[in-house]
Amino acid sequence: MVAPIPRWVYDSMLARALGIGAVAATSTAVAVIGWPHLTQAHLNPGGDTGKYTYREGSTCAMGASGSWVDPINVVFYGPDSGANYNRVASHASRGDHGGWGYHQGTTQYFLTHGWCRQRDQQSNSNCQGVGCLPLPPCQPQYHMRYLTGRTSSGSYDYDPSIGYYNLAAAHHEECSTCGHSVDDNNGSNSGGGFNMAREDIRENWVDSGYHPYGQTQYWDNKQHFLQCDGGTAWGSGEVMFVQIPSCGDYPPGTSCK
Amino acid sequence: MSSSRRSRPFFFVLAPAVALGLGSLFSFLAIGNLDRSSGASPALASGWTVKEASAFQEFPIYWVGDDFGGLPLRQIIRYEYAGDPTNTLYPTSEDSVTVEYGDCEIPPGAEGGCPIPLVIETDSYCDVPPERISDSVKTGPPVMLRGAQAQWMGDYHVRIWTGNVSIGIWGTNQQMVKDAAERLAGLNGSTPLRAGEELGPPQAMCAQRDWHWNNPPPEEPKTTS
Repeated sequence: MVAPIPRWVYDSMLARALGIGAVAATSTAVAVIGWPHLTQAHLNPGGDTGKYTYREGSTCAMGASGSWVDPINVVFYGPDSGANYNRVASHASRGDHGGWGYHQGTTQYFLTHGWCRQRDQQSNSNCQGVGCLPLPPCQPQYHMRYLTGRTSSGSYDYDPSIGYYNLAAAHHEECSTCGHSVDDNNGSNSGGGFNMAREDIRENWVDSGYHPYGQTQYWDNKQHFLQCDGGTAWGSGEVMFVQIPSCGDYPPGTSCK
Repeated sequence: MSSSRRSRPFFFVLAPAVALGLGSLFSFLAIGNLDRSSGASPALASGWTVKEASAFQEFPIYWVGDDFGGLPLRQIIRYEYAGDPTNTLYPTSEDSVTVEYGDCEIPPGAEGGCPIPLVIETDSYCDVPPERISDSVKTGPPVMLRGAQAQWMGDYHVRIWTGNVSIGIWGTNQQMVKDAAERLAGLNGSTPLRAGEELGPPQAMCAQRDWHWNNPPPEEPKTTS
């Protein structure tokens, strides 16, 4: 793993210039060599990228597993640099993709190539809080936080197998007296809130045919998480990969949505 | 308007509020009681009692006793997920018994949960065989652990394959996971394995399954209208 550049260095003009240079070099390499034939592995949840989100205020450092909050259970990816969090948010908000059109919730962090980065964006399916009156201030909802993978220099990371990618921690949560709680895995056949959300994305994005070539990987990130209502929720360890290519990259005859 | 009439709206507002408050207080006290659970008959959060788990016969269950380094047994969860037969992508079933140790605190005002300090999950071998694990999460090559096949996945998680089961251990530091692996013992059966004894290699025959690429492109993709 490449050592992270300290923030004060990255914030300097020189580092910014280097970052821009890295993006330009990567773009050139992609154009010349073609997608997806770069040589270095990047999406590496056993090391460079984490398998869970981290609590705000955490450093995502080794020994910080006590700061884990949610398992990463979806990866959105595509061949062009536009396959970033903005495209994920745009698709998520579509009515035929589940309509996760709000962007509310607290922040969490992701580990990506030495960076402990705040999520880029989040999408939720129901309006929450007093601004949504006359609706109840808390509503059950689907919710996911996501981050576009970064290199150690902070530019968007490119994985040779899948291209640019976004790590997402999706869940369904219900309202309890203490606020939102991810649905307990016990006592239902829904598979729990983490799996419910991943399956909702699968149904609305992949099974619909709009996002072909989904695959799954088993990351075994099944840590159990105590919820504020006393329930326990955990993921099945299965991570779903959903392609979000630009319209020009869809196979002929398929829809671009 | 009479005073009794005037009080009705207050009743309808106050009664649910009082009920909610009492419910919260009860939940709080109940959870507080769980924190103190330990000893031979722990007050478990939910799920199985130790006695119920001991009677389980489908496959061996592994645990580290009623207490692990001050972390009391919190919960024993029997979990069966049939999978969704209507969904061609995630029909994967789950069949496991999980033992949780210790408790954690969610920071005030924070969303989301907190990780249970020590989790030991015993799955049917064929649900989580070694070939199912994605190469991308493996830390180093497979290792032998008490005579069983094992695979580290980061510092806080190891999976062990022995007999007809697959055991996952998640902890908050590597030493805890290593110690738990050494102290694993059988919970059920007539002669359960004791801590420190050889676990032995896996011995299971599973039907071949395609774990990683189970969603081929649709044969008849939708066309743009």
